[in-house]
Amino acid sequence: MTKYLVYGAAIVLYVLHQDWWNWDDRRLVLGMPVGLTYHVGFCVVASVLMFCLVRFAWPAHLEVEAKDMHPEGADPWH
Amino acid sequence: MALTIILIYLAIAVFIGVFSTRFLRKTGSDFFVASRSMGPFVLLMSLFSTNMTAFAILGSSGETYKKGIGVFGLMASSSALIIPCVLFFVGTRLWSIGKKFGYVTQVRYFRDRWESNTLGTVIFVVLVFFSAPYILTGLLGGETIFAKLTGYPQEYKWVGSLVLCVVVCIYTFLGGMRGANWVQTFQAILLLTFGALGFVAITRELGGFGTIMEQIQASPRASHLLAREGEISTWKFLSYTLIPLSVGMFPHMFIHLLTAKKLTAFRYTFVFYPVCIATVWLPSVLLGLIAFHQNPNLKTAADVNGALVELYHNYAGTLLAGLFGAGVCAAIMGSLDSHILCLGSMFTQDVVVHYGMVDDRNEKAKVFIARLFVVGLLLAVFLVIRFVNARTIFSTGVWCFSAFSSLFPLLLAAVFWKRSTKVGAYLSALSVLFLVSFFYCLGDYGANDEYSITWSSLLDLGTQVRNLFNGIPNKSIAPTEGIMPVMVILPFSAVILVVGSLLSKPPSQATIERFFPGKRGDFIASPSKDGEVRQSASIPAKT
Repeated sequence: MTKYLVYGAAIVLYVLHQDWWNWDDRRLVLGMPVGLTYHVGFCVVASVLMFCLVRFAWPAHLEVEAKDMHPEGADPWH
Repeated sequence: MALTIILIYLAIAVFIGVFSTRFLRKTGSDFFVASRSMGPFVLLMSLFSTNMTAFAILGSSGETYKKGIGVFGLMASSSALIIPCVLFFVGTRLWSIGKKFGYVTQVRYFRDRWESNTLGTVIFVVLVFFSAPYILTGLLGGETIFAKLTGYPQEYKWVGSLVLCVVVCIYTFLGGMRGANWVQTFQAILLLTFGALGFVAITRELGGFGTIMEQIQASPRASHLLAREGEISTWKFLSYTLIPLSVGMFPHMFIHLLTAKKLTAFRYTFVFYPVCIATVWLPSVLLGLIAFHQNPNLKTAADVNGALVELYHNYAGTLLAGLFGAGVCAAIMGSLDSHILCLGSMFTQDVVVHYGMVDDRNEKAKVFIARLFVVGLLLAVFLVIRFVNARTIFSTGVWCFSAFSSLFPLLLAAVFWKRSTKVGAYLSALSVLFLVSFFYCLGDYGANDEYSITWSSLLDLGTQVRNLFNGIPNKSIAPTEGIMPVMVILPFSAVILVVGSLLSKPPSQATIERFFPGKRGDFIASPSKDGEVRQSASIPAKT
């Protein structure tokens, strides 16, 4: 369930990237243009989202499968 | 002074490449994927450095100089969300498939996935074709740095790209992917350090960051750059979010994914990547803004490319300007080495060995051919750059990214859609090749930085093509109108892939069961220790 909430948060974040409400705003916030401050904050939130994805939706089964199924001889470079 | 610092840096890069050969096991696996042994920190720095290029530093500041702070949202913050998500949802599955079946490149994977040799070769050609412009942006950046910082006359700026080519050649020649990864780690640290130092020095020289921002806000000449109104449309802004999808199809990213020791090595990359992107783009965008405030008279593409370098040259002092030059060279080389190693690896494994020109077990011959390819490719790109220097780094990079992101449906179909077929894949790859080339030509061969698509321009394609053949530049569309070509090409390539697949024969049951097992871990045709099953499961070459 938590996994799907994080997926939903990713979609919401994608929509929030558009920030049309800052389109013509030239104010300075935290010393920078508000549109720029917003998108720097967006990057930080994206980092938090990725943390949540890693924490709650990590595809651990992929590593188990690969470990079980990958003998050395399968590597074409060996 | 600046030249000396840059040369010292280049010598260090060569030294690291040479030093890493002490750890080189002289096998193809070590040369191309560092024996799949890269840990989390080096992987993060390597992926980061591979993405942070002349495009992110010189290109972004040049574009900010023209369009204002919206550039950060166009590429940086959209990449901060889209790139790690693509790596998380698709990259992890690719890592798993690569580990299971020993894949190094997309080409081999696509060949097996869609049971077609020729399709793999077509995709190889398409990937090489689309990689070339990105390498070009790097060399363009190298020339800008050398010309602006060293005071060479413009006619000698080719020395900059030549020196970069030689240095990259030496350290990848000797160290392969292990050397490239080590140098990239060093490069990423340099870039972050000098980006911050230069930013502080310039803003101090100009009276402090807060003061400059207030001056720009009060300036009727520059204040329009503080917002997106009048500079870019909301639809174009939205269409830019499709461009970071390119990360999924970049050949060098695929190889980097394979260099991870474990899947868990990606965790740091996913979490810190958005912040790393902001760290590099933010100073570049702010300095682009300041560059316009200080000198709004730069007009030509070469001048806009060098707006940031000029700012350093005028306000940061010789030492920091030299260190900054070294940092940008670092970023450029971090991109170049990955590209050329990857293309060398694909050429060797997917063309030369696949078609039986060299024995697969002959490790020395494989590495030698890859090195020859690296030299040949760099030489070719170096010669091509003489004809494209009228383009901005940003727009050239965007064309390249648009091409790779338009190929993204191909990757999604391979990984997630059982019913996709080679016919659909052919149609998709070839449609992207045609449409990107077509729109690129309509945009005056990349010289029209504002090229975008509107309904009326789509209805008027005939006139535009006639203009193209008659050498008449097409009418420019206002920056606040239209969408990026990727928003047309990507859906088209997806639809044609679906239609082509549904109208053609599906892949064999054995292939479907191999790549889409019924339950987790239940793979048939799993490779044996001597690799025999893997080879029999792979598509044999028609030699």
